[in-house]
Amino acid sequence: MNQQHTLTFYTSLLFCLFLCYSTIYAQNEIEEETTTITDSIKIKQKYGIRFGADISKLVRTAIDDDYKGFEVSGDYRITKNWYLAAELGNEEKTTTNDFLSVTAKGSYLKAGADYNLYSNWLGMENMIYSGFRLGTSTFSQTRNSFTVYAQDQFFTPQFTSTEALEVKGLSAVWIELQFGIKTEVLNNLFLGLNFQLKGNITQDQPNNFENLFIPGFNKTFDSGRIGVGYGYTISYLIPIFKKAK
Amino acid sequence: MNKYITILLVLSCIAFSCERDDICPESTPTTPRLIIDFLDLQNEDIVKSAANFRVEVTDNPEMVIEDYQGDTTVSNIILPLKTSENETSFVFYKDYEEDTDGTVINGNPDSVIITYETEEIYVSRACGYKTIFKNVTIAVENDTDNWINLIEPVNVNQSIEDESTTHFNLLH
Repeated sequence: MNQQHTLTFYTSLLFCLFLCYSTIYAQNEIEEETTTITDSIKIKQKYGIRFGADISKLVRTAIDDDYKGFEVSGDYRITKNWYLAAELGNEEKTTTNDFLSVTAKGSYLKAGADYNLYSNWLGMENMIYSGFRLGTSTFSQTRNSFTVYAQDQFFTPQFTSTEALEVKGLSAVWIELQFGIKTEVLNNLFLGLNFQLKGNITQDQPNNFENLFIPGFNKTFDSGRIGVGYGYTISYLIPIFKKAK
Repeated sequence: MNKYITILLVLSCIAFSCERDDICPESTPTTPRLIIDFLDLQNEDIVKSAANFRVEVTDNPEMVIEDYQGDTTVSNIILPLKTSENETSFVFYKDYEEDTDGTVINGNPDSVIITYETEEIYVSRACGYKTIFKNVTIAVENDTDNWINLIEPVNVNQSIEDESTTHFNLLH
């Protein structure tokens, strides 16, 4: 069962990479065609450092009692299409079901690069991008309560413990693929939406217990190392450089 | 643009195609029950069944184990244990008989006291924890007319961690 899911995951991953590659390849071809046309009008490109925050995490903090979190992000353009990018965040999430209540709490850092797949019209700085990150998280897991599970319910209730048990100093490392868009809605102000696919590399598991949620990585799945996430960001570009094209 | 939509579609398919992991599957071993084989006192290699076998909870005789209501013949029984206490007591009846009003007219009751230590082991997010029982001992209370001679453990420091093998032998 597990193996089959892992296989599905890697096959899908390969498929995604192939799609990205073919998209980039197709775009490069278009660029080659256009560069042959000479243009006498000089348009200034602006670029520099962009700082932002994840709105979805703030909204979720406000409406979800079991969640508290924030994330700040930044990116820096190094070549025409490549951007260095990083996110720093802190999350606290309580997962509860009939038999278990657990709180995960911790901070994370993700660093990597984004590649802009979108050919902008002159003077525009929008992005449709694909990127990768290496993510690390340090966190604690607190088991708030649990009830013993027994298929035979002759003697009820089963043993219940409400003694909180905290395991500190846990960490996890994962890789992440991101797909997203960033659009300039006002001068230098960008709104962005991204989707994240994560693959866990290592994680510390608490003794006689399990990481159900890892800050930055989000929910873990029983079936394997995969994780998913999304972000809705608002960011501001500080245009350090202005260059004529 | 279509390509990006394809990518997003593929990704969301991967993301939501995982199995449900919030329901504890019945096939997952959780808290085990106690398994007792009924053997002949004269020759422990021979299985000896008990007729019209009934199991009641000592503190509450209204509670009767569903499979052992006094109308079955058994040579092997499975009993649940209390996970919130370190002791579970049952009354084992042999040759149980009651009339239409529910009055007991026949049967030999023996009190059985099972003592143990409990330990909670993590199973999964859906099943949470199971209890396993360690250092299990079973005592049969002496009365004038015991039909059970002895309930002996299969191993030294008998523990009940799963339901794959017999834990105790009842000699009668």
